[in-house]
Amino acid sequence: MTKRNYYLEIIIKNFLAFWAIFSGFLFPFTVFLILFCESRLAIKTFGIVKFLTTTTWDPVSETFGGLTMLTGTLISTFIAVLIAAPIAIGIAIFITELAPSFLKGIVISAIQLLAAIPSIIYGMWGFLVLASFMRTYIEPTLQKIFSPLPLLGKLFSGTPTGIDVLTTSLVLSIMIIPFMASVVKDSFDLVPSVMKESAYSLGATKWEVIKDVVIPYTASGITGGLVLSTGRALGETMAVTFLAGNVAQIPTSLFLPFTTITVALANQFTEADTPLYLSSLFYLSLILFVFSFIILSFAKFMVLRLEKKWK
Amino acid sequence: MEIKVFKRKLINYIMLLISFLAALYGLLWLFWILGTLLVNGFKYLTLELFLQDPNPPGIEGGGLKHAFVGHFIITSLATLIGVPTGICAGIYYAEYGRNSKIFMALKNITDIMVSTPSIIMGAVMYALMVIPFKQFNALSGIFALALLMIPVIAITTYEMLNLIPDTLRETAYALGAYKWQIIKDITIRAAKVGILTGVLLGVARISGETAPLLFTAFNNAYLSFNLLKPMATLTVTIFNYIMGPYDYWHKQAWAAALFLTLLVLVLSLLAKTLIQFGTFIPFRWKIKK
Amino acid sequence: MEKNVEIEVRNLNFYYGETLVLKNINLTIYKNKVTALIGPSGCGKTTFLRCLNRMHDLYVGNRYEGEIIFEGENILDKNVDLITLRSKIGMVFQKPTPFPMSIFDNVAYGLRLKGIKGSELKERVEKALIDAALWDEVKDKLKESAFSLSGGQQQRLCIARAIAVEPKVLLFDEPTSALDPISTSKIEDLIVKLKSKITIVIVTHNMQQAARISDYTAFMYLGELIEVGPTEKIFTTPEKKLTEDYITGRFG
Repeated sequence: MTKRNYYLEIIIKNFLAFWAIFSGFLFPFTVFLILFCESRLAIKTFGIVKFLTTTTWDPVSETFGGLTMLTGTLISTFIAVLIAAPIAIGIAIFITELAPSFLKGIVISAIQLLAAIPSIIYGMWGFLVLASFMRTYIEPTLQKIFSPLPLLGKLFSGTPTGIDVLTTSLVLSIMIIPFMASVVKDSFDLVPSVMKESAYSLGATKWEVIKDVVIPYTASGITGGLVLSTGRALGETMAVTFLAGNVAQIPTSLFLPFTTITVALANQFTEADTPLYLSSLFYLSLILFVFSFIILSFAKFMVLRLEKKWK
Repeated sequence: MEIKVFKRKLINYIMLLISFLAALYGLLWLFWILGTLLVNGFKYLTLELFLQDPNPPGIEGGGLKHAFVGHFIITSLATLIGVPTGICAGIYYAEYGRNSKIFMALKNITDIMVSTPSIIMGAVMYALMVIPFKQFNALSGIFALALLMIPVIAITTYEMLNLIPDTLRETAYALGAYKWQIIKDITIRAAKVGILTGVLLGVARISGETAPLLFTAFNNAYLSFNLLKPMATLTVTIFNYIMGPYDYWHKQAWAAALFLTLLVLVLSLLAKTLIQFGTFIPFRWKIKK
Repeated sequence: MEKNVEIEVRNLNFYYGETLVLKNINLTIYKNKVTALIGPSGCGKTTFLRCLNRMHDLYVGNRYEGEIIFEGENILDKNVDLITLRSKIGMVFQKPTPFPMSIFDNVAYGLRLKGIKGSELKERVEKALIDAALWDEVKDKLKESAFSLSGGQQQRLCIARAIAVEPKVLLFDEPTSALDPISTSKIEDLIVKLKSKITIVIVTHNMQQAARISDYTAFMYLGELIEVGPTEKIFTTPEKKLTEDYITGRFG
């Protein structure tokens, strides 16, 4: 009877190990491999540097360059994180340090609800509701305020349509706020009360305790959350597809339509009628996968390294 | 001295006010989005929506039965594939792999895959299953969603199992149990609620996915149970309807969106409540000899 | 108020929610002396200590009644500025709590809050580290992380941090319970040295420690102050039987 258990032990262990190796190695590796194989034609035709620096994306002449998509992805993500980060930290501060107990639960639930809303809902709501609101009220006002300024003014030029960089980044930022806020809040919760009390006992105000003790103590958690949210924002598809406008250009103003890698994939995968076209789309997917993998790895690495430093 | 202290207190007050405004900002968007969803969708959330097939484009009326059914089929089959796989991986990481540098690295990679863009899975399954089959099919969509689920389930399972104190396992070892018995009878049972929560959250997540289905399961104007043919889903249908020209399409899309959001919210809330009330459900020790 | 009295506690009652946790405490803390608070677990000595710098105000549901007179004012009054109060009555905690900054920045923290900078800052940091008997060990590595120090050194760092702002009173909440015997005796020596400049109140569950370093000892039990007096008297000829039972180890 022990022999049976012994063999069972080995079988089960190996069975489980297989799935562990699958999810941690076979899976990501296969993804990379497939994307790479399908991109081979485009890589051979355009090379790496040329593809990344060409803005032309013309299915008719079969010239494809990914620069517009790449910059679109980077710009919208960057602005989204810029808006979301301070707000997420503010929300976390409110939840952990300010809110009376009844309000605390409400805000936490609200944040969780925001996080659960599917991205297509954000997209269609942005498209049908926010875009026209931006076009009618917000963007003209912003234009009036900022366009007289020398450098900054250029960012606010063009006819506001609501389908542009600004609206897209705004909706993206709303989508990443809940995740960032809960990561920051969880980090804040880890600060031992004695640590905070030590600062209070020196005569610090609540804000000083947050600024000088809580935030530095949780710097790893906050940074990790920030980079993680960037990684997520990079891959967001549905909200961006509705709001970017799908115009293959590098936007020079916040009010111009643009495109991202995910927008191009969502809109054109079913339209690709030649092997080179399809391969170029796979090439974009490959770039997106590798890029987000690198950023997410960096986030993980930072969190692990900083945790070691303070322990 | 007095002035300096006053200045510090003023800054304190202002910063805390700002954080309050930040919370308000978040709440504002939530209410705006949910509010619009309710206002626009509630009227059209009718029984016909669930029970009728869609009309030919342009003709008002009809329902989304095909999309509801298709969505259910694809989501449940994806869950059936993704959950056991993810749980197995998570169990290995937590119970066997904790001391292995290699397996902890694999776990970290799995964690990275959790946040990978979902449209990538669509692209991969397009290459693997749509091109060879020469047509869009539901099965490719199912696998795309399953692939999305696996890392999520694996990591939550790992984390929940990690919360179980080692002393529990040590006591069982001291009684002479085998490792797989301990995992089966004790550890998993103790982490049952946490793992279930992870599953619920995983299901909630893939229920709302659109991108991986856009060019795998694609869409179908008719009710279909054929996994080798394209199948309609709520999310892709919403996408097509919103982008389309017909007013009644928009209205039905709002209704479907409302339903989807409520579904996802209920699943998420269920998961959170479980975690609060159900952790460490009393379990029985059953060591088989 | 008499010249040698630092703090006068009158009829202090403290509520945690609806529960009365401290009952009618009357206690005098004398200037430049070490007053020890002893008693079994749960007797309220830490709760009492935390009333002296209004630490309870950080959490909801706490209520004070009575008076604590310090510098001619009742510090339990609602209008008291807690920021200023806490820079005059400092606290050292049970576990060392170095801030996530360098050694220098830790000690400088309280001073920077008050707006002190430049050479005055450097001088006061050095003085505090000297007074905390830590200067020689850290003078070459002031920029290093505070976490690079050992447990005993970290606690002395926390003491340096607390005395840098030159408080009148320093409250110690079981400061050596997490430390090894050598570090403990270093800190005990430190406390005895500090009392010439600062009034000290120390909570300890180690009776021998109280006997070693304090001038006055207060014995508390179940939220009440049972007896207080000069340390030698308390430990040799206590007046109350309860005190005697605790001292001789019959309970607690």
